[in-house]
Amino acid sequence: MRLFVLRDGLVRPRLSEFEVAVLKLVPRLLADVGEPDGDAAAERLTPQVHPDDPERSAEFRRLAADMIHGTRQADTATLAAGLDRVASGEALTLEEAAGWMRALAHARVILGARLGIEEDGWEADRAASAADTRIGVLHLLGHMQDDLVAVLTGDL
Amino acid sequence: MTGRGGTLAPDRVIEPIDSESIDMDRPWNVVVWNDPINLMSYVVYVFRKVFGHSKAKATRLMLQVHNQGRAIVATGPLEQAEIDVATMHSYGLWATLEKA
Repeated sequence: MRLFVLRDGLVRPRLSEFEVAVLKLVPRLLADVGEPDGDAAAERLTPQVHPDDPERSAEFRRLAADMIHGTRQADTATLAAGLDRVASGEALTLEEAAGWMRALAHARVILGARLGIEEDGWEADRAASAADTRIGVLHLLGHMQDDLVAVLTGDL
Repeated sequence: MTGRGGTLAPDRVIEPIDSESIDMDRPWNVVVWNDPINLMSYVVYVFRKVFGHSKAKATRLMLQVHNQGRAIVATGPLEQAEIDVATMHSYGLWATLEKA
């Protein structure tokens, strides 16, 4: 079943209490990102754009940080505010849904970095999924994000 | 300076080359790298939304990223390429720059 559907120009979530509870983890995940030099998640989210030139990369990071962090903070706020409204049956605008989609993408990248996932194929490792509930969260957030992509792709 | 048997022609003057100005003038590629987390559907969506690519082109680039590890998704002046790469980061994609 699709967890998000588009009707009358609005995105209507069909989320269980459990799914809402998992989504409430996302703002905490997004807030828990340190500096690129000491945090694998931050390094992944803001990689060195000039791989052979650390100095130039650092300058780019300095200049682009406001835009990138600002977008992430805005998306986090959109998700947090939307969760309260969704619980009371309200729908999301397409713009809000796009913010949710990006927030989920960032949350999954952060979670993947925290779990040390560096290779394709991790989805098929059932033993790893059973051993660490965070992989289940990664799967569920991916399912939600994929449904949001499907809804928003219809608007392109 | 010329020695015996030299000519009276003036010495050739070689203008110093400013490598930085060449860098600025050359186009830059925006490279997106494969990562094990981002969804294929999401990457296609981002390429369509940000660069205006058709579904077919965005899908081809996504598959190139997935199968070959990287793809050049845009090429342009440094200033535009930096905006594009920052936009990729704001979507959570792993992107870097290289000279075209």
